[in-house]
Amino acid sequence: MKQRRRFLILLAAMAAGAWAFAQPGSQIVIGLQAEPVTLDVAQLSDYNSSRTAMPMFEGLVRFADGSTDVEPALAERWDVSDDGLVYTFYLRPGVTFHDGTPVNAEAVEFSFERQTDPAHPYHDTGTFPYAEFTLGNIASIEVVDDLTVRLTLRENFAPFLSNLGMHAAALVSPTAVMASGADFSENPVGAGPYRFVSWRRGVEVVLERNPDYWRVTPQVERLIYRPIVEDQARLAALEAGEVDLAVNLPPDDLPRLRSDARFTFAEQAGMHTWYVVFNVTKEPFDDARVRQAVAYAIDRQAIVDAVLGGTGVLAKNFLPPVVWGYTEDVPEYPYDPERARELLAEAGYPDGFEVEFWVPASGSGMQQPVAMGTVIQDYLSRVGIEATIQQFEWGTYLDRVIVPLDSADTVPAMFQMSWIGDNGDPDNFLYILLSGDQFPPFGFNLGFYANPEVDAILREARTTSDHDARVTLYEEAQRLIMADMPVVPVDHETQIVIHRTGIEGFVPHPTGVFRFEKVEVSAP
Amino acid sequence: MASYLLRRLLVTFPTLLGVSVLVFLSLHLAPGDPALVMLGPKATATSLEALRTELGLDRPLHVQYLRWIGGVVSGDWGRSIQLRAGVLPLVWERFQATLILAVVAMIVAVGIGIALGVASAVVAGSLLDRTAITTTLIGYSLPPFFLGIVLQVVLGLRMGWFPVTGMYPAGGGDFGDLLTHLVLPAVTLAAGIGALLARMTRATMLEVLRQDYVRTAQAKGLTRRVVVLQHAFRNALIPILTIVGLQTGYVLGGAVLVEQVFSWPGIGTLAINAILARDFPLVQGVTLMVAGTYVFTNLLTDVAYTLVDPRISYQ
Amino acid sequence: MSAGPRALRGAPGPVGPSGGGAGIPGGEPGAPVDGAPAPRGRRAFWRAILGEPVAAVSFVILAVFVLAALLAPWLGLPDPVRGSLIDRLQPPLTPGHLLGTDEFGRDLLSRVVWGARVSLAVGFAAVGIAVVIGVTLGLVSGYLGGRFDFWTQRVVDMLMAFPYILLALMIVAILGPGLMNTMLAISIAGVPYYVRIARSSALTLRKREFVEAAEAAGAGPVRILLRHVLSNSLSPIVVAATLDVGWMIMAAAGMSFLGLGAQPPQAEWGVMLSNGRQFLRVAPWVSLVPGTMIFLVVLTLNLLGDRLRDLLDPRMVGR
Repeated sequence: MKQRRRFLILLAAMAAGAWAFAQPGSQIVIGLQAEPVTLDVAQLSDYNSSRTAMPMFEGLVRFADGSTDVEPALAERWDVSDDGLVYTFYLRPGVTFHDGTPVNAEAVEFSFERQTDPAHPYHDTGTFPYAEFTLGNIASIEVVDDLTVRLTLRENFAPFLSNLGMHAAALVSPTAVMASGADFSENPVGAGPYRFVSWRRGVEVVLERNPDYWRVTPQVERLIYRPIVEDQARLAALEAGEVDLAVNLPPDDLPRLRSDARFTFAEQAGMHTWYVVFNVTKEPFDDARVRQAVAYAIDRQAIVDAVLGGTGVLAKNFLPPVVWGYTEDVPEYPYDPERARELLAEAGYPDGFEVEFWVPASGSGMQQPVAMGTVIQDYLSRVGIEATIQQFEWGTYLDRVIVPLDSADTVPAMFQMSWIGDNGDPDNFLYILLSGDQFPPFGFNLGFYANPEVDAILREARTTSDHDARVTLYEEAQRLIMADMPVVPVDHETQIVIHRTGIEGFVPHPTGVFRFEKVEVSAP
Repeated sequence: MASYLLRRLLVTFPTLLGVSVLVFLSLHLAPGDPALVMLGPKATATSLEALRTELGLDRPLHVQYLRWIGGVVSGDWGRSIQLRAGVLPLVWERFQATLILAVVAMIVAVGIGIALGVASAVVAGSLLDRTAITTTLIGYSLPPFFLGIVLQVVLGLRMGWFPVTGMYPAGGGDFGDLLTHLVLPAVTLAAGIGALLARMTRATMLEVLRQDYVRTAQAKGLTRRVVVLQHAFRNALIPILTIVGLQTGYVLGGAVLVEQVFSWPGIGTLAINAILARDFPLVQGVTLMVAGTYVFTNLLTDVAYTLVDPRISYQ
Repeated sequence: MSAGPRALRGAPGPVGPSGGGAGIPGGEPGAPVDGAPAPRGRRAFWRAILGEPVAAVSFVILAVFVLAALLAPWLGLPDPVRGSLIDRLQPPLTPGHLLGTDEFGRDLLSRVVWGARVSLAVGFAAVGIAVVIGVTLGLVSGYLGGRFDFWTQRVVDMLMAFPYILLALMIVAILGPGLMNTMLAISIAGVPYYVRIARSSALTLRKREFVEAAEAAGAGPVRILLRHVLSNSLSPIVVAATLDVGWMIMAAAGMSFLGLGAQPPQAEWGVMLSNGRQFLRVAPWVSLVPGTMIFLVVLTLNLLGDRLRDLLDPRMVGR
């Protein structure tokens, strides 16, 4: 019956000829902030790429809708050995990639080893920024039979299963990678609810639904992603009906859109932190008092209210509240310029100092970097700290601030950064961003903060299996970190997706990706 | 005529060659090692060395240039660092969009500019003339990015008359869609050039109308219409053509800003991103493409002269 | 990118099949000042310029801008880079903020005045640099002729093969974004234009009797270039430069608009316009105010340039 209906739909579509406009209700046009860089799921490192690519892929497990709880995906079920080192996954039978080749144990081995093994014949088909983080802990992959695969870990690692829900652990069609080579990033083939149709550079990426998707049959037939770089232009496109769904619209326009019945807001508390990083290897921020002074000097609540227009919540702690283990029992830093001046005087800077402050022009998770930077600069000047802003394009910016310790002197004293959680585990914030083990290129501790006490706690927490024990450890780590103030957390962004009223069932995911397989649309 | 064209064509090649040298040097004049720029500070000594060898940066400069220009001629323009794709396909696809915008803007500018200029000159000193002068002066002094923003909000959003972003509706569209999407960016781009053309046309027409042969024609009792269009305008055409030819370059340049405002998927947006990201292979490709077009347009302008005024070919 | 088309009014452009010299009507290089019917004497000159009401009004507006820019620190304006977030996006005519405030609560009047300092300085300096380099090269090239002339002209040909803004973009790509680099870029990109103007003047003047007489009298080439050639080529150069200042201001604002020019929190009109765009729908004045300023300055400069041209180079029929 279902088969037959699909056939009829196909017939109808063919009869309609120019089907782009034959069924306007069956497509959603998404306004992206910028052109995707790659559609290869293993190479993703930015929102524009992942929001476009993720509907085409799926991994062994995935995060449930609206949370970071792990649920079965291409693996029906799995066993974990008692020592937490051996994971055996049983794949869902009969599932195929979009090119018709089967999803099997060999595809798992191929997808993972392509990224992690430099000797793999297809390792040169891309650069894999998340490979080490996501899959680095896997010591060996064993194909047990066609539908069974066994992963052996190097060490017990509590968040491992969560990592397998991340994009870099999604499965790609080995046949397609072999055929396309490096061009796989422009011809992606996965097993997700949507499949690739076309990519016109600078114009749009078109995906169509995968009628063979195992979980459901998606209702919306086509997804069209258009890069519209200027926020105002994206807003204009949404209001003019040229796009159906958009993100990162100017905060000051949101109240107006909220009261407009044509639009619906979908919101999700962010697994995100926006922060100012101090290069603690250099004066003056090698002194914790100076770092604390900066925290006191900035009216962060005012930034959240005025600059961000309530699109974020004040960060009282580095860890976002949606991540488990969060505590508010940490040292607080209310706006207090007097206290800031005292601390500066104590540290030997009664007249303040001059400092370089790097700011990206834009960037995923960076919210309003230039505006926020300008306000922070202003607040700092009121306590005598004269910051000089230097602006960079995002790609250049990342290249310049992510450097190993031996180049630490090339990194300015202060710069902006943000982090979007990948797997919902506190380890994914605290260890990666603030542990002394995680200086680049291994992790993202960009300011080179290292406190041996914090490091020991974080290391213990990531190899402990007991959940309650981990919570206690992370709470202690947060207290120590907020006392040291290696970074000034400013806010946790609320994901606000605004779409045309008539799109039903769109729920933003905490990881920031878009899911459309359960979305339905009525005519505009 | 044919030999003139041939000669003119031959002169174009050295210019193009010089342009390619300039474009090439732009990468090598940039402070710092191109390989370091490409790899960023994360580069290790080995990867730098490997990339230098791969790019041929260890060779003498002239060898590098020959390799690059050889690639350009044979269709291999290198690979974009940022977009991880071949430069030529990227540039070519975007260039077509820019060309459409530029040509349409030019047609609008030439049509309106010349008509307004001629009309204004004929009724010189009248209220109409003065209104035209004021309008063109304003058009000429308005920054195009500013005009674009205002048009976008007023005509696009408030009135809802025209689409405000892109070239086609999502998923593609037909020729009619392209035309409606063209209106706002093309008008924005055409405003300044049209105003300038109107001013130049008016000045030239006034000059010509004062010439003896025009007076003679009028004295002979030819109708004013015939005098203006057949005698005066024909003679005013050469200087006007000159301006049209020259402005083509500015249209191509001005398109960069207008594209930014209207998210037009042209070469301008590509160029800005390439420059900000210091994606030098792409910057080279874009500049070479645009400069080549400009040189070619100048060639066309010169050819157009010979058609309008055959005397020129004997110079 | 930036800005509109660049006029070639009052000056011979790189036109014609020979790539130069063909000239548009009236675009012949200026006659010796002595020969032109230009008014003599400084006072008469000013009286002639300001005699016409439109030019007079333009002059006054421009003078106000220049004065405000020069006197900005002493006008008692609020700090242009510091504001209070409570006062953000106040509309014009708010008490204490005549032109309203921007997204950081900074006073727009103050920012516009301080911005005038930057924008005007950039405009004039960029033209100045372009004129000095371009005219020197052009005069020497036209006067000496020969191999130097040939190669200079080939380089100019090549530079002219780039649309102006693309050339500026390329230079910024090499130098890196920033206000100073932008100014350098637009002035370097403007050099070929002045080389052409000055060269055509020098070419014509070289053959004139008074130059030949000076040569016969044993004057050195530097003296001849400065005393005789330059002074007699001034009119077209001055006219072109005046018209160019507005254009350069627009170009610099355009570069800033694209994020390649001035950096925050500096008050520069292009940056202000670009930032204000974000609030176009809720607070249009934030972009309208700097946009109008750019427009006004460019307009008045164009009007004055036209008037200057009418006076100095009367064969080029202007308005």
